[in-house]
Amino acid sequence: MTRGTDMEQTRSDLKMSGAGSVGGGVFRNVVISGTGNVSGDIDCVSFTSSGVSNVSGSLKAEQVRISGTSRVDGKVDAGEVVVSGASEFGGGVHAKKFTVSGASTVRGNVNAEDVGLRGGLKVSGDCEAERFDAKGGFSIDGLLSAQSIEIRLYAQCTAREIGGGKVSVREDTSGWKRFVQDLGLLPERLLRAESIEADDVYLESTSAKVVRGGTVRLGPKCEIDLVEYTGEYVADPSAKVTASRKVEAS
Amino acid sequence: MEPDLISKKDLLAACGISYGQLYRWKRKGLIPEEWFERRSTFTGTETFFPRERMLARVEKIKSMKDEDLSLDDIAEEFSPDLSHVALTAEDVVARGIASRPALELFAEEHGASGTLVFDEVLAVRVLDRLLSGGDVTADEGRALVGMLEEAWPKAAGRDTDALLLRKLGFSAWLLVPAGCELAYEGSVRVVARVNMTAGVEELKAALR
Repeated sequence: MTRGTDMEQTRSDLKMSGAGSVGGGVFRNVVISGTGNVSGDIDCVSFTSSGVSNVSGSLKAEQVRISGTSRVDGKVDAGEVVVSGASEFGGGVHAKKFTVSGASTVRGNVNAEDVGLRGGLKVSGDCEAERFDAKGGFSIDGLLSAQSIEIRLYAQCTAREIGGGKVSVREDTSGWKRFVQDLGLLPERLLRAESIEADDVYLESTSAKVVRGGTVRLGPKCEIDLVEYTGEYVADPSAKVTASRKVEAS
Repeated sequence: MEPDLISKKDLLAACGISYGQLYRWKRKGLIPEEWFERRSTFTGTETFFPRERMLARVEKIKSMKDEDLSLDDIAEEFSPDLSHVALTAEDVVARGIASRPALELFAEEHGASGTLVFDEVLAVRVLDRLLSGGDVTADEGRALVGMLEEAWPKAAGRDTDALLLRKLGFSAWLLVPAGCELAYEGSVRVVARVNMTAGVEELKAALR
């Protein structure tokens, strides 16, 4: 284990172009542009991979940028993680900012302040953030929790549970996509969840067993078994709601 | 409905808190993961909490917020960050956490190192308590250190008991769910059983 000697002066850069293998260690900047295998844990200031890289241990960095294909078997602990290529994280992601514009698969949990999604994200555990902003598709096996959850449906989205302060789910309204979808050429864009709970809920194209909230507004194409609200409730005439009831607030 | 549980929506109504607050507290680790119990009810899946503990916890958080503590401060209060714990053997003895003989036995099995991190201090302390209880031999003490080294990280965060079984002069350590019932053949003796979570709590208090 490395400990204590975190002085940046003592860190050296690691550059891998071509094909290479290296053990883990403490570095300043790690740049992988070829095929790089790292066997062990990396602790660095910045990690940039535009090639194919595999890290068999954990990755600790202030900046992680992946534009190629990357796999990290252990835990990722970073200030900022930006994935514009494809990535697979085997031990969860802990970051201030986690941005995916390519595709990312996370085994374990995502813990971040900001999650920004412009592509596809798969999480086998929970995804917890202060702000979750998605324009894309995701599947979260556990809980999606954030103070603010903004979802634009560009593909199928699923989460077992969704909870937080404000949840807004909207269809992607760009014209040509709707036209193509109406022709039946695109998969149905829908959010599926067992339960959605938030103080302020707005949903379109959502299928859920239970929606609980303070204010609940349902737009088109919603199918909800039960709505429970403490404040206001409005539903689009096209929303299919089996039961709705007002419950006591404090 | 079991009286010792409270549903999430009843909790919100009883305490005057919002979904946003509750989910944020959960994210910040202010409410233990194990307290969220998902159950199927006739209205679909609902989340329940242990009533008394949860109500007490919410009141505590609210009063700490009134004192203008940040959520991170409150989280630290409930589960202090122990990753920075590093004690020398001298510290361990001086603070009365464990005796020197226990430390020496620990070092024989574990290897001597300059400083001990939290899990190591915990192992020494548990070892010390069991040795001073008089039921556990030095060899079994060494075996305990080996067992904890291997099994404790896998049990991370779970409530467990360390258990010593003996049969016809042979012994074995187990790490089992806390308080679970055991069934075994008649010639087996349970020599010692200690709750690890209680050990963790005691040690946290001793380190404060």
